[in-house]
Amino acid sequence: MRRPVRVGPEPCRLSAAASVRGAAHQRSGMPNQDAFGLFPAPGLGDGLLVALADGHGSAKSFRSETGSRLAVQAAQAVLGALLEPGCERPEPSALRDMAEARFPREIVREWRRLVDEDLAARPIDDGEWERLCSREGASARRTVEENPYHAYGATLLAALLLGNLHLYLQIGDGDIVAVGADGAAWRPVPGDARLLANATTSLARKDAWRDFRRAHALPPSLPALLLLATDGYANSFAEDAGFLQVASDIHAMVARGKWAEVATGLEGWLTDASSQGSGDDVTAAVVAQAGPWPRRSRRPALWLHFRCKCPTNRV
Amino acid sequence: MANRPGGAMASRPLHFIWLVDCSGSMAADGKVQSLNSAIREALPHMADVARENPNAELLLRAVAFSNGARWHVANPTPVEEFRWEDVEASGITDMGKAFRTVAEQLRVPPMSERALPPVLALLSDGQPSDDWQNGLAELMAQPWGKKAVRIAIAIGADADHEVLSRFIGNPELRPLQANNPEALVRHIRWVSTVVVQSASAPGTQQADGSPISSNVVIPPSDPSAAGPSSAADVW
Repeated sequence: MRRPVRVGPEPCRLSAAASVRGAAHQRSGMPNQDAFGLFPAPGLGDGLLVALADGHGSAKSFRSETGSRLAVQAAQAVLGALLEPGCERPEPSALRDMAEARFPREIVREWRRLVDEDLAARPIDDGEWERLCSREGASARRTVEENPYHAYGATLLAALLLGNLHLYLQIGDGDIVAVGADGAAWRPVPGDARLLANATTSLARKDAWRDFRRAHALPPSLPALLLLATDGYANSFAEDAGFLQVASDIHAMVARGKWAEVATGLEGWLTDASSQGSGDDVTAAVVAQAGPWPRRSRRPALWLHFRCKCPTNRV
Repeated sequence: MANRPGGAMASRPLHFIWLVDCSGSMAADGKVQSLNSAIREALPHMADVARENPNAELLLRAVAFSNGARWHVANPTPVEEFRWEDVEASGITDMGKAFRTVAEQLRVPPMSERALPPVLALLSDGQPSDDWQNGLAELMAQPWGKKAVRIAIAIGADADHEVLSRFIGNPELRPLQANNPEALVRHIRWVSTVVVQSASAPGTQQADGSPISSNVVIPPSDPSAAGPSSAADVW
């Protein structure tokens, strides 16, 4: 799951992902706390699950390298089940209902179960407590003792592609960018005003399932290309438009038949981004239709997105 | 790299703003001269920290307040290019106007959403003479005001710790007390180095609704620099 580059095998869909340790993490000795997974449907199935997770870099989240890996595993366990042979494809409305009520709860529950297992196997040791207290004081230890999931805090971005039905789920920062056949890029998942100044919603947060944001896409509004990235990528660009341009430019490369350059160049692009930009860990996954694409395209009007309208979503 | 997709890359801006009390009382016992030399002296150390953190672009500004508030350095200036021109002391203590002046600049735009949490360093020797509560409320109404790292240095025995603590807004951080020029130098150096270092590479924190709104963890300052009183105290 943490191999630096992985290229999907599907004949009709192109997929690649890479993850690089942040330039600032290298200077400070911190590990890469991102994780990702590309999970194609077994056999000749046309499904694909992409999952990226970003472990919080704060002192309290001292096991977030593990937390992000478990987040990808949790997404695989819950969403990947729909890729299994014999699993009936849900209708769009049913999938939307599942994304609203079921998937976030199940992902959080599975992530917590995996964290519980990890904690049981290797309880937090004295060295970890000492390092935490030396960096953030005794109150930080109390915070983690009250909620040990803090130690594993991570975000999650997931795209589930079931033939002509896409579902996007996100908790915390990072970006899911869609590109139409005309090369225009946009974010289908609604934003969250709380994600400012290195603050993020998290799987570790109480009632985390409420913080999931969602979107889905159907024909004729399916994107030609998807880019999923942890926040270290967007934060590396002087302007947000420059980040969205990444997805449009990759789309243009694919259209010119240069997918191999994308797959082989991705890791280097992310390394550049971290060193010249944010300094953060950077992870990105690209999924593209192999074409041909419709000649005329526009930003789809039929993109559907939805999000919990619960009080905890307010700033 | 050739054919790299996307637009221009850039390190993340880290805005640092001095809010400097230039009221008439700062003229007493050489306080304003000490402040001028302490900030000037701290700049090379600040530049060192900036060089060690190339993924943060440290940009400095300063607001001076007395009869009203004005930008002493209006443009966000890279630390290597920043020159401190002396401020002079006269008039009253319109701290609230300084808060409003900074609040205007913490809106998005001109602030970018990808910025690092800004650092606001307030230096004052007395009590505000204007409506500082509303000024502070305006500052805190800005998301970047709320998320800013807010540090306060109390210069002399007459500084209003309650006001400075309200500005800081974090029970774990107290105003730094400077009762003599040496302590002022140490505190300003600490803000310019330790605080800037912490703000340059903050880890991601959960948005947990904590009353401590900044996401930057600030190490404790040197206790020996904040002693309540000593024979060297002159303010």
